[in-house]
Amino acid sequence: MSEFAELVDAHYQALFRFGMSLTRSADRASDLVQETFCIWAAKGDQLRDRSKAKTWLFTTLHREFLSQRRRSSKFSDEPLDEATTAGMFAPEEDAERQMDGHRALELLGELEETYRTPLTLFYLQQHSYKEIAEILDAPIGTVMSRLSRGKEMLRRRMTSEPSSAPKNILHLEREGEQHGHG
Amino acid sequence: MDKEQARFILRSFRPDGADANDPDFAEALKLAVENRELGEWLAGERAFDAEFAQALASVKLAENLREDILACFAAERGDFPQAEDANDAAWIGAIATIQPPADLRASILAAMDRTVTSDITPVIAHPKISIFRRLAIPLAAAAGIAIAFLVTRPAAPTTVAQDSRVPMNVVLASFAKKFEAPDFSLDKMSPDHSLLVQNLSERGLPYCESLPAGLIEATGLGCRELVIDGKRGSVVCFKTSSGGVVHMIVFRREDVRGDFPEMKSAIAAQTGTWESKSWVQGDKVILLASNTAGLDLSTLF
Repeated sequence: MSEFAELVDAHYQALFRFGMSLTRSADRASDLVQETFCIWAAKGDQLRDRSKAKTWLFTTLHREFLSQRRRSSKFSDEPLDEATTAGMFAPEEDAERQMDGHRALELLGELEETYRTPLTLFYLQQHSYKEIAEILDAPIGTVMSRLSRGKEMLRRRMTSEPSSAPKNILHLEREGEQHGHG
Repeated sequence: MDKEQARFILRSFRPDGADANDPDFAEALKLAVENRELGEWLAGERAFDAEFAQALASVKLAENLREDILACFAAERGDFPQAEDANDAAWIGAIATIQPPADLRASILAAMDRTVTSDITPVIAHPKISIFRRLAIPLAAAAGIAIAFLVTRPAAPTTVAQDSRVPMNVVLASFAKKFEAPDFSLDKMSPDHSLLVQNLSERGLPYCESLPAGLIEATGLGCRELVIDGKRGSVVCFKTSSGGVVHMIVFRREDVRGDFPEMKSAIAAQTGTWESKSWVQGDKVILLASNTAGLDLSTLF
């Protein structure tokens, strides 16, 4: 398998989910991922430290998203594009799970982008908070603050709609509140 | 470190434990071990995060995404000539052995007819084009005809092989290769296009005298000399109002092979990630190129 194919296999899934969180559209997320790898094909050779490839890809996708958004209003705060996301979320056998991918993206989508982007990167579990800061070109302290506040916002949104939140999370939320750390 | 500070730090601790060995979390984790309340809070936080991360990971992928990416990559690599510098001359030589099409002369005559016809209105469309430059276009076309007669008349193949002019696709490929190299740099950097032109002029390099309308207000980034197969040209880089970067490559007409229309009929081409428009301006050939995704060069004209 070529180096490029290995790189694609290692990262395209997380990149797509990151793109979904940013654009709310499977088509546009796919375009972003493809564009990111095309840029890698053209410029990836310039990256001397190959261990930085993952961060480079996420940084490039994010910049590409911002660049496209500047040129177009199509990435406004739209709801999830049902036409292009149909069938992409929890399969039938996971019907018992109250928290699924669609709900996760919905909840993230309710947050301001300032919080949504670092939180998505955090929950993809691909990057440390320092790498997230690098990807977003933001100070480390700012990213930590946004993660902290963003997670609190997520919890508040989940508890305001208990029917769509997983039971164990609600349980933990109440437990946390008892300790005064909601 | 108190409990609130520890919570703040630990909210950045990934639920899969990937940060367990990160020394920045050590003190906060130690406190969580020692303090039951903080420990319980951390357990709850990680459970919440793990649940959310799992949900996010359940988002299915777009169909055929991987295959599309790999196909895109193959197309990218396949479109561009990947010859090394040392092989460029051989590649050019191989191109040069291609005999010109039999109808080249007729095509040039037809092009001249179109040039003469379209020359009726350019004062309105391009008020900045001087009378000398407008005269230069038919003169250039006439020169092209003279060259065409020379090229198309019965002659030994060596006559064609000696043509050292650089094809435009090689100009673009060579520039793209230089631009994408890590050591690409500009000789002079300035947002002022007139200063960049002055710099090129002082060094005897060709430059574009009349910009497309969409570049007149664009910010200059810089300029540099561009030498391709011994031909000296220039490139001026611009940043457009939409944030894209475009490169204006200029060579002397005599150094570039091919037939080129006026700016208003510029030839569009797509090569890999690069979009380009080329046209003739007096004794120069202009190639406007960009690999900025989503940037439509047509909007600059």
